[in-house]
Amino acid sequence: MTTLKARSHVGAAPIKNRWGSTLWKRIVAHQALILMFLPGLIFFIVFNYIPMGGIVLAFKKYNVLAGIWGSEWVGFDNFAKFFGSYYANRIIRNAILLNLMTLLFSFPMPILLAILLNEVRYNWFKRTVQTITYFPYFIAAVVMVGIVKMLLSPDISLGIFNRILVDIFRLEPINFLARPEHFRSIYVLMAIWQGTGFGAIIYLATLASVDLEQYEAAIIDGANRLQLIRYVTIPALLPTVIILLILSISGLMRSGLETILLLYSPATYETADVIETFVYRRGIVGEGGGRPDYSFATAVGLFQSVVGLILIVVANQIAKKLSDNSLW
Amino acid sequence: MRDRRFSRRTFLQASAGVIWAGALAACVPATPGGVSQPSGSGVATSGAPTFTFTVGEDPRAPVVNQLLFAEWQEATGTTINWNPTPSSSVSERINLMLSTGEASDIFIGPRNVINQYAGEALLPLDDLIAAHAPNYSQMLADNADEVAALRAPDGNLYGMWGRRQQVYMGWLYRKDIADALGFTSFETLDDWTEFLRAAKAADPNVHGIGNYGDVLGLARSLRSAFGIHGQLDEWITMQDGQLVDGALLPAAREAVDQVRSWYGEGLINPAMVARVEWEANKETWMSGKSILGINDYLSGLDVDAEYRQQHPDSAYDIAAAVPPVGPNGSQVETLNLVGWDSWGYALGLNNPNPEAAVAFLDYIFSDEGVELFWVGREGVTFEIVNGSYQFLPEVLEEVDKTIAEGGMEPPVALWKLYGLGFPFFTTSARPAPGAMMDAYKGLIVTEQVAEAERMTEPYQSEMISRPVFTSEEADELATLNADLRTYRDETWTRMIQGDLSMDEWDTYVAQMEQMGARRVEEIYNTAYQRTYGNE
Repeated sequence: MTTLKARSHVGAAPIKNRWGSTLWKRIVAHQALILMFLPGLIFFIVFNYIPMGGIVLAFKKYNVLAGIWGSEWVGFDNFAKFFGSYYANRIIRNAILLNLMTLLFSFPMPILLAILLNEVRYNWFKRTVQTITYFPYFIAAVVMVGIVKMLLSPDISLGIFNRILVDIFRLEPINFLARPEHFRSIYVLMAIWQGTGFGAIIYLATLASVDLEQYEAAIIDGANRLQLIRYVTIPALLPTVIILLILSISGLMRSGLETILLLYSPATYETADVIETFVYRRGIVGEGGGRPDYSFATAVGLFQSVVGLILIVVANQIAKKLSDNSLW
Repeated sequence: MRDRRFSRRTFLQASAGVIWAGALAACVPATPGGVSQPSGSGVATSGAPTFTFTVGEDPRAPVVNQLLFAEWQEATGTTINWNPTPSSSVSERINLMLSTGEASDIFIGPRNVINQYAGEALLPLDDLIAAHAPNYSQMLADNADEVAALRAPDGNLYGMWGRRQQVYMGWLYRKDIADALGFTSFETLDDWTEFLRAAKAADPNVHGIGNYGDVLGLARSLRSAFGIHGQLDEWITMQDGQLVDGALLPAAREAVDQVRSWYGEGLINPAMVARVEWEANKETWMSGKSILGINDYLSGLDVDAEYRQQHPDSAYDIAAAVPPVGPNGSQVETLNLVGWDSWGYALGLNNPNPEAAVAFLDYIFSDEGVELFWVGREGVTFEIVNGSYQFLPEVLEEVDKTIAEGGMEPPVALWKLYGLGFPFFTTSARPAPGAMMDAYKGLIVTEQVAEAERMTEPYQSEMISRPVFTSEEADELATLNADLRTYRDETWTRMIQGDLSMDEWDTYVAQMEQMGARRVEEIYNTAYQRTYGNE
């Protein structure tokens, strides 16, 4: 059992009187640790919990002079505006599909890379590959999109992919960034390119803690290379994989705003327009003559958070039932 | 054992202390270089006012350099605590500032944002201008018929807007290629199409039309060729005294069809179906792939000078052309950016001394202020030769040296060295007389661009006065337009790409109507009638 709940009790002495003198003694005994913990706690209260009060904005028509609390209540009007939009269904569908594809293709890549690197015997090679693969993670979205636009340019003197299509395969150049059917693939490939190396670090750290005796015992039992991966490496990774998978599922409604904003155009709205980009145009930029509508943006954000919460609870329950590994 | 436990505890307590100290230090607001102080810092102890002033800034040249403001501060004892924000994000900063009710004492922001937050976070300026700003009052009086468009929904002025006078947009083309192919005159759209075809036939690598932006912008630039005239928001136009959405008119279909036809023939930079950024567009001109820019920035002519500098023996020659006429004889217009600037000065609700602030800003619009703003001080930065203003040779020499050393544009160098102009976020000032602007020819505006401006000026779109919307109308417009513009842009792009037949136009119009396009027109007309009556 490797739940976080189980781990939290490791090393804890039984508390006879929870609210009595024993607890006070324990607080006094651990005062320095508690002091160290307090700034973090205060940080979360100040920056994560108190701002949650702003959620009321989703049910109000925000007025600067009146402030958040003094603004007029409008009930579910802001939600009605969102779901009443002609494009509500499409942007929700796009968000889910885009994130599902990212999860499906991008999530296993760091695991695969970590397993492969774990098998490499030459440390210098392992380190070089690690450095090269996690480097793209530190490239800003705007630079990354610039590179992708260049690579995919329909102008064959700039776009290497179209050059290959034309020169090697004798095909017509494809305007990748203007075709909705290619958008999701481009987005997912970018996610893989940017996130695989960095994502592999956490799995490599997990593998570093695997007891070598397990490998030795398996070898003595006659396990070959693939069997070692199947019966030792993967089971060792599984708890981490499940925890990260649950966390990823909670983000199924949230997409990478910056990347999509830089990459999409009316030509690709059909598959690229997601909740964030629509809210950006309608709620933040105030496109169409109005000022930014923060209440609308908050309502949509709340909707995404509630769906994310439901997803994470459901995923956690499923994981608990199927594998004994869960967040709580 | 006791000592060891004591030592461990001491270590932990010391660690906790360090973490706390770090956390506290992180919470203390930074005060870099004394640049900013809290809003409403009030009147200085000497009695002269102190203002916080939020502006956009280019990191290469500090905002405090501005000569006009420096002189005025010195003359009046006013103190400005500059609150500079990177020019790339100043719009968001202003928006955030206003939405949280924490506007600076003075700031420069976009008109739509200022007017939308007007009564909630800003001071109305009408009475203050009348009492303390004689120069700006004169400017308002000189342009009285256009002032209504500056007002907020409650009828008040909340900003002091400058005026722009430069002609920015026009038709640019590769004259050397046209000459070589025997095209000497372009009177109609068809003439341009023939030129594009001939150039493509001669060199398949040529893209043809290359603009900053996308194909939708191209369709909009062509709408006047098919009879949609005037300039307001997007496709809104005036017909028979009523504001209508031009994007629903048959003329819009023809404009889209023209772009579709060019795109289908490969006569447009294919990247324009998505979007071409400024630098990427410049690159296509430098590489010779773009040969026609429609309604493009006339400053693009400077590419010519840059190219020739790199390739002295080349025949490369970009020129401006008179905009053509459409198939039915309708004259093509260019985008009009002359008139009230869309950015202006506004006062936050907590301004400690609005009277002094308005008087301070009025100086910008005075004769002396205009001279200081544009050309500086006579004998120090400029001289007058035969009635024409010229920067002193040593000034030009310094600017050239700074450009060469720092890789910056002339306006940035002028600002950095002499504090002239306000090049990064606005041109909010009174337009300089023509003789004063002579100083900029050959420096910021090349002779070639100046000539193109003169040629293009008669073809600028006529401005349609902007109605002032109520808060409710603005909200409804935003809701409707979010869907309408998404649908329009997407449908047109599909038509241009050939994914959707032009025969689907009527379906598109019906769908736009169903989504509320007529309601948008109704809102515009109601607001227009309310703002201007039966003018």
